[in-house]
Amino acid sequence: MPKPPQAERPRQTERPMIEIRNVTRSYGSFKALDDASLTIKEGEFFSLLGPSGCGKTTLLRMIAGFDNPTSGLISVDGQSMEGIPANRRPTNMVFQSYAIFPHLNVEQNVAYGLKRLRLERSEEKRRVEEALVQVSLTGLGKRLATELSGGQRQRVALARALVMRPKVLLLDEPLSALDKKLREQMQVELRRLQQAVGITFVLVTHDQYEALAMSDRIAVMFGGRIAQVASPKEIYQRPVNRQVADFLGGMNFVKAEIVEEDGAGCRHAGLRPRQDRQAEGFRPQWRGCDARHPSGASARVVGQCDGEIRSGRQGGGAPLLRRDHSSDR
Amino acid sequence: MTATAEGSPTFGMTRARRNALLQSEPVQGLALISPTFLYALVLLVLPILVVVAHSFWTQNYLTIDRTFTLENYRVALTEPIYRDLLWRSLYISLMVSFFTVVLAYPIAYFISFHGGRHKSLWLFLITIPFWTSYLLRVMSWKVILGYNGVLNSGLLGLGIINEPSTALLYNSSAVIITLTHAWAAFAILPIFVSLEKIDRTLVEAAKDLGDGPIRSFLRVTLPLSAPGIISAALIVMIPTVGDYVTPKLVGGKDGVMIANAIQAQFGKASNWPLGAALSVTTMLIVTLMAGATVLVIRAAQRLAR
Repeated sequence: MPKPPQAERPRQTERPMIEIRNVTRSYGSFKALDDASLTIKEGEFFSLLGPSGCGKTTLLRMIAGFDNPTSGLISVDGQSMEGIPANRRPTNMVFQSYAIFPHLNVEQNVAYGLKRLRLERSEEKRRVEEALVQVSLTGLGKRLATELSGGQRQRVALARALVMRPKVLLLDEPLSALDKKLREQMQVELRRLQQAVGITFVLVTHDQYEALAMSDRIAVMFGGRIAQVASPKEIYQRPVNRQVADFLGGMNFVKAEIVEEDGAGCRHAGLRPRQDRQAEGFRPQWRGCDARHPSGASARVVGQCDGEIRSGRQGGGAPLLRRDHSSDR
Repeated sequence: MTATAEGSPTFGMTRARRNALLQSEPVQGLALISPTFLYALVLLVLPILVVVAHSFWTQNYLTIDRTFTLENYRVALTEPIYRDLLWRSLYISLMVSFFTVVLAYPIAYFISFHGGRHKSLWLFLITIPFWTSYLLRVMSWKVILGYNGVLNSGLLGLGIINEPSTALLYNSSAVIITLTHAWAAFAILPIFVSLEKIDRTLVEAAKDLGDGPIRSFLRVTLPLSAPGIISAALIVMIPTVGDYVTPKLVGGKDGVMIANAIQAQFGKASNWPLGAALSVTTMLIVTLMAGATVLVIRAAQRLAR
């Protein structure tokens, strides 16, 4: 990926870029978003993750300015977005359907937003060319949108937004229409692109692996509420509740009591020891609750597993939850 | 054919070949469309052929002389009266289609973008005036535009004019107004359909890229609805050139159009060949004008980029 021209790349900082404070969006009695609060830092690759209908797209559209909160406040780069229409916000969006203008060719699509800036002809051409290089679409400038493949259309949508040099790039499930192989390739490319341009990316997705693979931080949402905001590792290893744990991939849930532990062992096993010493669950690839972690930490658990035990280990090995440790009911 | 003549052993082969021919896709396709094709041939192509044939013949009092002549076309193209009538017809139909499209567009836009759940109700309401006869609607414009009409008495009552204006009725503007109203729904529908087909996220994308409501309309919505504008313009333009009821009722002597002359040739003047030549000339010129209109709108669409 060639280097972008902007010399001053805002690296990831602690400065908040987007602040969402107690935002609620209701349609009649239905709350699409319920009292959500969130801070996204400058230069961060942030994902909104959740099942369909959890309010993640609603939140993204409110950041972009296509929808307004019923109550609460959204600010971008320290400036309140209240009453500011979409066309005057420092954000740009990559739509799920890509929304490529069918009556324009690739170059005209990418230059669409620049026209309003009334740049010099050569400067406009240079920026369009640069954006096409960034998304590896050189040489296709004269093609019509209808003559492009899904992956190419997505790159056009990306170039069209990046050429505006927004403070925040919003991506609404940009990879969901691509096949698996292309999707995985684009995940890597998107991440690299974000690192290169240093723009804050906000990605909406329902794909756990996508979110875990690409993001600096993830907000997991359910039913209009934000359940957890943390790094991918933390969310995977230490989900705050059963819902989050379940949504993020295979998980063995136990009704068990922790018999013996040092803190580190429980953490590595993905168990959250609560105050009452009840364990909640562990990931399949972790050996089991009473296994020793390479670090030497250990935990012993007595209890019963809910349903089938999922194992991430091939070819047998130690059972995940020893029968002799689980109660016989 | 030769195979059958040669004897029975090869006879089977021709039958096989014939069967293969009957089962081939092009033949089956032609067989499938043949009833409707014949119907279209009889009802659409034959009348035009009859008209074209007549235009090369001569009226000889009560009989028709079937020797080929271009005399009718000479008259149709050189007589000042027919030339003037033709130009006026083209001018009126151009104006009518222009005003119809300009007035229909906002209505179609409103229904498509702001109609919400009541889109079909709005479309239904638009068709209500068309439940009455076309003649009645033309007559009611006489009531509105007439000497003692609604408009004149309204303006008199407001003190804007001192005596009733005679400029409202019995001229080409009256024809334009009446036809514009009469054809409104035929322009609203195609424009509505083309607006419905526009992906709304395209408008959002335009806003996202910095366009206000007017710019996004001019750069995205309007160019993408060009097919609807083209069909609306053609649907209105082509039949209005040949309209003769409206000019007869509200046009006066200033509003006479080519179709009135054609009607006179086929009726009172009883010169069918000349009427046919006038028809064919009008048809050709309307075709040219329709083509030119399509080109102009397409060029305008490209300019919007």
